[in-house]
Amino acid sequence: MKRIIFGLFILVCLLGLSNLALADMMPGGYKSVSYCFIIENQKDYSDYGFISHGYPMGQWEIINPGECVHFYKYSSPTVYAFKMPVNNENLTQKISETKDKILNNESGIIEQKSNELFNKIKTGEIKLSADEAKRFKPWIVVPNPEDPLYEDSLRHYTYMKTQEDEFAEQSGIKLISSGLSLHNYGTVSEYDPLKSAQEVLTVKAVNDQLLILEKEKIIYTYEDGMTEEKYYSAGQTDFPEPSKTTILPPWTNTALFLGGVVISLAALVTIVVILVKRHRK
Amino acid sequence: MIVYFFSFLLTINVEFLIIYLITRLSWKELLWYIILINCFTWPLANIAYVLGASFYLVELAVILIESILLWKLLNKKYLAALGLSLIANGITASLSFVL
Repeated sequence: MKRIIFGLFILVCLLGLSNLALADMMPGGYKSVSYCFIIENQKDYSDYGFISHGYPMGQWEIINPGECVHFYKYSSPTVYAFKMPVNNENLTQKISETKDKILNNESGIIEQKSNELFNKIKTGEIKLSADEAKRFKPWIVVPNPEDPLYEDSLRHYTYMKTQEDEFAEQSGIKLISSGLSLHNYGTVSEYDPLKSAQEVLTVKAVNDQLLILEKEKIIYTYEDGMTEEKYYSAGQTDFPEPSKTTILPPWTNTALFLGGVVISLAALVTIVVILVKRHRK
Repeated sequence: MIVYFFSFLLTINVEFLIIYLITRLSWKELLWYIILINCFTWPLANIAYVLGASFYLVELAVILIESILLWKLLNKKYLAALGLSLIANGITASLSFVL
């Protein structure tokens, strides 16, 4: 009996581990759409540098003009601008060192400061200005403490804000947030013709206090190599619908597989019935 | 997916035509048997391909299985049924390279 229980325990552990291992894998019947974003008119603002910071993975990426930025599928980066220093020879190295320090967070200072800020905002000691709330609008849509999502939103905001402040303090570079949260296109049915999506962002205004970055359009590329541009309407945050799609759901392959097995078995049974009947005659 | 159905119908038609021309059996009965045999082997063969089985190995298995079914259903000698299966499946397999 003990052996059986031990065996079951091992089995449950293995199943648990297999689920963990599968958590990052593509579910059957789906494919991921390659996604990246580009700042179209970045060259027009050569006085400013641009950087993206992903939450919750914490990646910092310097955005080079004309470069389409890819990021981890579960990350949700925000784009920041910073005034380009007069002497920017070691800028890339400085940014790289700072982001490594923040990512390593050996002293745990980010969590400590983030918690302090969280408590201060929650108790009302610090009040978020309307502009500040607006910067993090995706998370603080309605700053209502009664809202069950409020604490999560506030934790998200304070964590991002602390990392941003820490980055500014350690690098001497002041980040100007766009408040625009980006996310990957995600997955579609494996029969869907969509292959990749390139989001085109446009800088509408940037100064030492403010960065207005807007989603201009998205360029879809299909499996056959054709491309399509879809423009965002005013205030639209969701991806514009691609024109080409599929009516075949992600479970089509499974259905075909099972259907094939059923048809095959039915045919075999019919053949056996014919032969048995013939034998009896 | 349309390609799959087209390929299935083509296989049935070609196999029926070849075996009918050789055996001159009642076409209605023969067509019914060919449909049944292909309904049994074709989905399984496709599943085997999708799962990564070798094309030649799957074709060999199909030839052997269909030869047994033809032997029993057509009341022919086993070697004759094997020959029919070999010719019919050989041609349909060759067509899959051409089309």
